[in-house]
Amino acid sequence: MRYLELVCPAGTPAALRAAVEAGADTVYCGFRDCTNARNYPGLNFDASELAEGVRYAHERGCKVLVAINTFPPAGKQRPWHHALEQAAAAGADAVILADLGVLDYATRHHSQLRRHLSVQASAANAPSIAFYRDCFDVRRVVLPRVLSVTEVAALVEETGLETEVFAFGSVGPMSEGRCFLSSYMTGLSPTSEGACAPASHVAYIDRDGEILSRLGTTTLNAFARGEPAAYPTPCKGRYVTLGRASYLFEEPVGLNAIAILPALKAAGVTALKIEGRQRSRAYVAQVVATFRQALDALARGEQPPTATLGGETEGGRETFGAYQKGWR
Amino acid sequence: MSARAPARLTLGPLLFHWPATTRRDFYLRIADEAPVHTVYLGEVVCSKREPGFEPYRAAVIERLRAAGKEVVLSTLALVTTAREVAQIRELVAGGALVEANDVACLQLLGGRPHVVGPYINVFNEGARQFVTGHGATRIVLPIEMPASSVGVLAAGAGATDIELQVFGRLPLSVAMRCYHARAHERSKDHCQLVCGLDPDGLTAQTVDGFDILTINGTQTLTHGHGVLLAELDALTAAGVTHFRLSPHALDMVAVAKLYRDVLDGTRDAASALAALRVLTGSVPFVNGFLHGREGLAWVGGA
Amino acid sequence: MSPTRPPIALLRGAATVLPRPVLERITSAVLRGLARTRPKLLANLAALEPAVVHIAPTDLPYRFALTLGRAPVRLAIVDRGPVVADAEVTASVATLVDLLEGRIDSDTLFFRRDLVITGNTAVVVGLRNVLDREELNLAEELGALCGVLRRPARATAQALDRALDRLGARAAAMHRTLHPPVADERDVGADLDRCRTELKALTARLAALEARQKRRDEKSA
Repeated sequence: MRYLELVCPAGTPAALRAAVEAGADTVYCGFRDCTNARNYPGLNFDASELAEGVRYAHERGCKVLVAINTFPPAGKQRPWHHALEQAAAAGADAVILADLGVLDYATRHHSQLRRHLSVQASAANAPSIAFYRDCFDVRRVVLPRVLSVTEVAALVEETGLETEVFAFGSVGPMSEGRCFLSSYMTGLSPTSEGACAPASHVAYIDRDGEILSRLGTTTLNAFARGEPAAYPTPCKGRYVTLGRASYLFEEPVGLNAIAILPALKAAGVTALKIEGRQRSRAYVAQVVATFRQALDALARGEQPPTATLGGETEGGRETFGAYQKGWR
Repeated sequence: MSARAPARLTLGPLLFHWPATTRRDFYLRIADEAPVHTVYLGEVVCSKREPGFEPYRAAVIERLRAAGKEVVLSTLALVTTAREVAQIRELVAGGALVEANDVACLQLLGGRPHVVGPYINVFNEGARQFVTGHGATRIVLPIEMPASSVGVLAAGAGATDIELQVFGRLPLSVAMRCYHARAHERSKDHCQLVCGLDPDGLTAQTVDGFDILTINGTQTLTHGHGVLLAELDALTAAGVTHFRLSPHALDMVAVAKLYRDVLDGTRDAASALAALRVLTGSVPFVNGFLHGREGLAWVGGA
Repeated sequence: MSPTRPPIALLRGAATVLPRPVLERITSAVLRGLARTRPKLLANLAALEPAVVHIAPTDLPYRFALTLGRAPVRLAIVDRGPVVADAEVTASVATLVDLLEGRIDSDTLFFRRDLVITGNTAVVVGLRNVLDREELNLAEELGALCGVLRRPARATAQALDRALDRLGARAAAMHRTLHPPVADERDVGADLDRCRTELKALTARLAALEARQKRRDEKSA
């Protein structure tokens, strides 16, 4: 019996191989277009790379999930339907979806293709999860990064559905799939174009020894050389309220739940998700190997070795995020 | 083309935390004086705020209905606790028309007629078809939508009403964290409803001194007022049926009259915009989303 | 993960002392070699948004100018001076080689501010992602240039590198005696960090392999 399924990111075929080699149980990836929430230049898979990746993973007993988790704009649904066809043709083990229209289409046209609910659908309560289960026969829900361990346990018990929770990576404080901060500043929509804080709109400006990060025309932060940096997303910016500059929404920290894996297991969680399809294969290899080691130790009933991944986390600092009391 | 129903003005749910009596008096005046067809009532942002208004709620609803207004009960945009689920269940059981702002509400409605609020993503025809199949009679479009998408969605909507916010700060995100509490260096559990200090929200500036966002408890809004006045004709022609005004601590009756006059063709958009500037003070206007630009942009002559 | 780390000190040394025309011949030979052995890499680079990226090693007296988004992709050597590129990437030779070979994550470097990016960030992100698709090994690519002499060339290179490293260490020690530790600390610390990171990654990988072997053993048992 597996302790917890380890679900790992792959932004490229090389990262997929690195994840499988480092001990992933499951790898998730996306196509090279707006149909997935990490639509960055040079990243992701074309149809033949996906088919090859699925073959490589399956030969090694590893599953592949395909994220088709953005929201098609009106009149432009075709790429999403096409992505579903390609995922099915490549032999993907499941698709990760968020949009009601795409879920409905997949249910009607690809009933045999297993469906997971993306974190982008922001299903944070039992009736929502039940709705997706009843309407679209969703088999697994990726829970939003805003819930405590107790709340996760309650949802597992109430819905009886497989749950996947984030164990490592970026922490988004906003309810996902319905945050319009980035398009407010850039005009490009993370929800339908798949890129929050697109690099094309990011600039770093050196000013008197200080570095300004800018998204569109908005200055997100000013930091000294050597000060830890976060992704240039609006929710990680520094803002002034009541005359005081602060990380109003979220500090430049990354989530690391490795120390609370037993609590997540006890909560009835099925799978752990490592965030970071936008990260390189070096990150994938290191994070996956560390989690593999911890999970194997726990499966043997041993204490996992204490390991930090401090260097890999956003801002170089770690947090338990919403899992811990007091985060809110 | 069949005869179109006249364009209707609606008053969206009050997003900010006002004292209960201020809230009551505000709605009583709306009932008596504002040319709006529909009033949305209910807490969208934070369930901790709700109890204060409870004693006045029934009377306010009654007064609005007596004044001929359609009343729609709005629900929370982010539902996480069992208590919040129970509240929505109770609301739905009451039989009134409800605005669903979290998918939880759709499940509890079980297919009964309802309004889909702007916090549930209906971005495309597939999603529109799905929600109308599950009882949605009106869809309030997400604030991010460009005119081309509004056109596609409204054109094929058939009997389903299409609503869009045309006045007020635009809600950009909801969260579990309370940013008002964080700004005041308090924990969410001991917030003492500090959001009540700011009837129009708390301004957040960039580190280089520009007003950029508005904090409202767990919600973040634009700093500028979303204003679609010059665009009303085109939106009506595209098939938008309902136009939402989001309440702020200013003369909302006067705002409603301006919009009504423009919709009726008795006042031109330019003069209405000038009058609106006087009513809204120094807060800038934004309309970038509809024009396919960054949301903070202002496209237009005024 | 690349098995061998290329001889950084040697690379840096050679890149500093070799005459410009020789360096230019080497870079264009490397590019031609890549076009032959990794056509997809060159196609992916050519498919990016058209741009010129300057790669500025902090410990070399010049920069590289990489022309992307058109075929053929070009790599030239340019003098230091005002940046006329769409974007510039600045880091030490060792860091750049680690990045190229996928040994370290650029976001990690960015969070630690060991990597500085100016100009059009999208171009750099695209370049990073395209390079990360390949399992590149600079030593192999350079070694390939030596054809049949590949193995001896690599052995010589490693030996030279060790010698240079020793020399460098001695020079650094002397420098430290002359100048109390202020300026050099950061570099040494960074090197140590890199070693630690690498050691950690290797340990983790070994453990994963052991765990996998154990699982296989259990399965077959």
